[in-house]
Amino acid sequence: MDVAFAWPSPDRPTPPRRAPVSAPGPEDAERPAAAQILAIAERGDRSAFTLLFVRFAPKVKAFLIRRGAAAPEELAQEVMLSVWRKAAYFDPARGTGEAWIFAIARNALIDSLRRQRGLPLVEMDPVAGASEPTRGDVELEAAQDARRVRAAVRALSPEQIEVVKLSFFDDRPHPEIAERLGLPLGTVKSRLRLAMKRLRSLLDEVR
Amino acid sequence: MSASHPVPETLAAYASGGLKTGARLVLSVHLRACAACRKQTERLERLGGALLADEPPAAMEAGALARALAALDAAEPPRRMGLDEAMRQGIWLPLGPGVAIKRLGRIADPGERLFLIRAAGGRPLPEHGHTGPERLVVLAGAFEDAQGRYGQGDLVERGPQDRHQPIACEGETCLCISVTEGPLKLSGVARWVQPMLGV
Repeated sequence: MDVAFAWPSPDRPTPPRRAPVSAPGPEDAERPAAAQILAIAERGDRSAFTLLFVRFAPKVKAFLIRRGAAAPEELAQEVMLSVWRKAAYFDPARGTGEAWIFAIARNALIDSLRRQRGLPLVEMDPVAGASEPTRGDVELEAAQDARRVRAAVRALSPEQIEVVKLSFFDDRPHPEIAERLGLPLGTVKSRLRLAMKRLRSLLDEVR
Repeated sequence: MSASHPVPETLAAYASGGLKTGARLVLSVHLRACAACRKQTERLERLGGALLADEPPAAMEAGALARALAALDAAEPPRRMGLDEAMRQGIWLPLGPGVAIKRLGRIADPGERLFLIRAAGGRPLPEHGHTGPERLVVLAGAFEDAQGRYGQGDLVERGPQDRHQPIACEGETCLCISVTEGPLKLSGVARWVQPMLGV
């Protein structure tokens, strides 16, 4: 006797078409991830996967270690395999390639906790799979976004980055951050608020 | 943000992976319906991506890349329960005329209590307080309480001290998902069912 209901239709607009642009120029080690993810999506490009793996697997592993994952090496492998499998769902209009990998790593962390407890895995992304496959014409834009977001984070003071990292990236509660940094709780909260406010205005410029 | 959206802290916890599964499910229903909160979430995920990109690497074991490449074609995605399937779990328990509740035990993480609540138009949803914060999202229909009216996709967050008396709006059955982190405190006629539900 379940009640039938209709999903609210995802009202995400389709990404605007843009004039095709040439591929990003010569890149350093900080080349944004979007181009490689799109190459995997479009042609199962193994060399693109190799580039992504070499650069991101160790970073994902470091993130998983920070979060206290039980088997960070295996989990980082799983994350990278998910990147390969899900590449077609990456939508550069929704965020950077780095953000997409971050979300996969974050979800893998939740999955691993549920697996340890013998619980079924649950679909976690509200619009997973809902996007139209995207073409390379938004590639450059996605790459520029990634650079600007990184620049925004790097423009914060080291103290601000520290609290943002502990709070958001490490998912530590404010009292624990205060204790770890030897700061009053109020200072941690106001520092975090200022940092997020600043980031907000910087990140808003991205879209 | 009005009362029918999650507070920024909740969106940050969602984006960083700090929410338990039941709460994620409730949030994801809202995010499907709400472009503004989705945009906020995407912004926070971009922050996560930037922090990840700047993270000092932890070296993978020797042969890790070769193992990954060898696994690419064999990789079978793990089976995942979608929301529709999740909602078919469990058994409806009637709490009164036109009102029923069921617990989605295996969907929630330990420590969480996740419920589907159903009330026919004009019927009160089970009155309850809770010992922990509650998050509730409307899947279908609408309800109102002292604070306002909530329709499909609207999300309500309430502190443990709040007691509220939501009533399903006339004309349509209201279906909600609720998640709490502490035991519910049902009142009145609904109390008897508490030990049975394990709430």
